[in-house]
Amino acid sequence: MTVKECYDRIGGSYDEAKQRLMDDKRMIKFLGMFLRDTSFEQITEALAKNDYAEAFKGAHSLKGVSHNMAFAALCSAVDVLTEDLRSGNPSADITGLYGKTKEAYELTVQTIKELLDSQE
Amino acid sequence: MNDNILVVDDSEINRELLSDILQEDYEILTAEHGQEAVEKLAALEDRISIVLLDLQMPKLDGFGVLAAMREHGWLERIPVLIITGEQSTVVESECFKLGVSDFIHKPFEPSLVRMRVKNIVDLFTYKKSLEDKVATQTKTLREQYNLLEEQAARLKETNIRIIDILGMVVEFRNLESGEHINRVKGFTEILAKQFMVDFPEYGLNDHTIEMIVSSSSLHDVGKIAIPDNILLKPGRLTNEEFECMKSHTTKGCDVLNNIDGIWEDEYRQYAYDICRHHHERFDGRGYPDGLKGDDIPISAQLVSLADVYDALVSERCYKKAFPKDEAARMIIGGECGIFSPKILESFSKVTKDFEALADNNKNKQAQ
Repeated sequence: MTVKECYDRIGGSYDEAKQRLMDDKRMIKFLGMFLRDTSFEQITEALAKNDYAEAFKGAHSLKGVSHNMAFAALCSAVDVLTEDLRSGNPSADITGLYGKTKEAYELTVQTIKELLDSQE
Repeated sequence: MNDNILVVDDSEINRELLSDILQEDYEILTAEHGQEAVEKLAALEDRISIVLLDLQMPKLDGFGVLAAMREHGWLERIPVLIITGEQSTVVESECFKLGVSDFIHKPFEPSLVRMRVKNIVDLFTYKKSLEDKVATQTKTLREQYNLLEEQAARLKETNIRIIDILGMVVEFRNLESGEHINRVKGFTEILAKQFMVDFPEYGLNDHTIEMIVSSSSLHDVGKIAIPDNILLKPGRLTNEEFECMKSHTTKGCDVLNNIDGIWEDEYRQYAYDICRHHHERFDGRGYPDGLKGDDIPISAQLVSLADVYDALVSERCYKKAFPKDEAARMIIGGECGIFSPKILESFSKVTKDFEALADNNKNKQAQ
């Protein structure tokens, strides 16, 4: 799999990411870093405890990172979640919003893993 | 050497992205949370040119870092750029109030990040160079000021020495009064200090009083130009001789004018006024100019009373010493010279001090 195919599959913008990261080698390095990012776990654990302030922090952080990585699909899903959590009183649909983020996040992580495996 | 940048963000991706963008032009230091940032700042503060700071972080957040930077005085020297994903103007304005210089928005735009960082670093470098320049100039000015102060002090000493030497010359010739000059100085000082408090409208202050007191020792300097047969005559002077004696006031001025150029004008003026006018009377019937009231310089009025008091309480070849309370009464009663009512008012408050000084001097002479 190429880096571009990876971005296409997860609904990201390869061109935007390349502009920031210059070349595929660098992009692979940063995609590896994304696998180590713990923001999503932070959201999951916080929501399990109904700690919305902490969940907001995680969502906010994941949004910034996915924005920088040009993961457009994940970014828009986590953006909706972030705004829903911002006030500290999330809407009834918080579980649905979390689900959409989880879906996008898992697809992203899974695809990156496949890409990295194919590089070795 | 390149400037150091401290990148503070809990996200590895953000730290690495910024490092990548900036590593060509700067040395990059990183911190994963606020506490680590504060530790690095404390250890390296002089060597850090700018801080890129995330707001949301574990342990200590960005606001905590800003507070610590303010507390340590770092914020004045180290600019801070906030790394933010927010578009909120409220947050930005809050940050500006806390002393933040600018913002870096996510997603990072490499050329914009470079320009913002360069602008702020350049600005602070320029600001620091100006501050250094001002500090250097302030130091130079202070040194020059100190030098001037030293010179002024030396000049003052010179003035006082000139005056004292001249006064001593008079003492040597004037057989009747070894300590007269010192006592007149002391009386003048006591009276002038009281007068300064009672009548501030005359504008006396510690400095002018010092000059008046010092110059008072020259009040009789003109006597060095009076022939011995008149100056030292034990008996009563003829009218002609008295006229000659009176000329010690104007002759003193001639002496002072001849040593012009050595001392400061201010001192010279006081010495001149005292020399010329210490025999004027408040009612205009004194000499040499017959000045009346406050046309007589206040310095001369003060010395005049001190001179008269000392003459009264001292023994002279032609008279015994008056008791001190009697002398004060005679002066206040207008029996011996006519003085300004204001000067008499101040004098009447300090007669005890006059007496103490007169006694003290007498004891000294006895020893």
